[in-house]
Amino acid sequence: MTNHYYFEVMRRTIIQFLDMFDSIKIARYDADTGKLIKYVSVPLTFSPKMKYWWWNEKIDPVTGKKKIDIILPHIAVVLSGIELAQDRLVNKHAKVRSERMADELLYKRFKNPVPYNFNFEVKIATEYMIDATQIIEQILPFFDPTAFIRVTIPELNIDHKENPDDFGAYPMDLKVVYEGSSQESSVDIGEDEYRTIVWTLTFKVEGYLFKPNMEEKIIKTALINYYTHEHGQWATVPTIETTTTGISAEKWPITTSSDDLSGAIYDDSIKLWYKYERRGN
Amino acid sequence: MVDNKTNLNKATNQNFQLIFPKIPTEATIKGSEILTLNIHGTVVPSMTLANTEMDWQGGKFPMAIAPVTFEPWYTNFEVDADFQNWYKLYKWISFINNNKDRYDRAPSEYWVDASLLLIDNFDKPVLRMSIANIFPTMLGEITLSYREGEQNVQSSVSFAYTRFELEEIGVSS
Repeated sequence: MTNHYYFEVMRRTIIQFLDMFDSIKIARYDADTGKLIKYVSVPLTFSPKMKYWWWNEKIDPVTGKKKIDIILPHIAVVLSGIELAQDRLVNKHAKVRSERMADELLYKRFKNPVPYNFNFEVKIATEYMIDATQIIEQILPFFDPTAFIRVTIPELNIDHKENPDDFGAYPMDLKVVYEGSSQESSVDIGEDEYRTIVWTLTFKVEGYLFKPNMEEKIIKTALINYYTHEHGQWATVPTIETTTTGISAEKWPITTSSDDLSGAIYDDSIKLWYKYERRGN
Repeated sequence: MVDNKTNLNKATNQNFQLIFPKIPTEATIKGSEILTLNIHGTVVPSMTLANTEMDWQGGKFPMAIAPVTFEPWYTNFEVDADFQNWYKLYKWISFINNNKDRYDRAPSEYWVDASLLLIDNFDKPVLRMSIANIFPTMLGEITLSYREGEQNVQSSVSFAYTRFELEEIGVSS
């Protein structure tokens, strides 16, 4: 761990999760007629605990003093914990080619990502019950019990394909699991206070974290020997294509050229060309 | 063309969509839709290629000896409040044989083809499984009880068929 690396995976996961709750609106209705008056956008913040809400600073028209109050309704998202997801671990030695270097002698590769669960709390604070029900009703139907977010990591070429030779991986689909909810509202309310209803929805994002990229030389030569049995019909089955007209270079796995046919034998009874090598002498 | 991109994403067992055709006992496709509406699970059947081992010069060699066989296709569903999906499957089986006045039919009269779409995490179809010549062979029990009213009534059906074929119809991007 001597070299610094940072793929912004956590940051991108948080941003994509927040995006699920962006642009939620609630409707305001006339108290007497019940008619729709306007739509209000619900602000969304990513905040540490105790600083959930946007605070609104304004001058009290009566006293002339500065007055600070919270904006309601409001959605605040908190990342409450990260844990290794052992039940999603797969081959830790597998590697993905992310990039071919300019000199074409090196590949950049990264190892299979390590699964981690990101636990989020989504706090929905409202003054009115109808605001809370409107917000929750626009969120929960999308979790049955899961929904997906998509994360791209351009540093590892984990993104959409732009040309046929792209290496890397397709964007990561991260499963978001709805785990439950709780509600609390203030009961003892002082004369200068008002009721606040807070719903807490908990979610688990099944995400990944990455080890650093590594460089590896490309394999330029492969030494391959095919050994088949000298006698019997089994001699040819594993490696030779059947043909009645001759051997084509494309269908002949042992040779690379149609000129290299020395030792090949045509067995008319089974309509098969075959060739074998013997190990050693 | 070689696709150099790797797909690191995993499938979930919700990634399917069952498509049923008009069944022989219904006049319209509407009658079949109630079957797919309340399906909550299905098992993609296993396929088995029978094989044997031959001894040869001290070694053993496996080789195929028979056509591939397909296990029955099971589907689980919740029974709707009018018991219509369960009833329509009953009608389909009775249409073939009711042990009263109907003992047989030509297979072409009761066979239909079904499709199971396997989809990616964003509902894009990636594989189509075409199941040829299906007909129900077992309609599962339904359990009724005055003491277990908190559960919805569940049932299952299994189909016989001649084969299924898989066709690639897209890849993730």
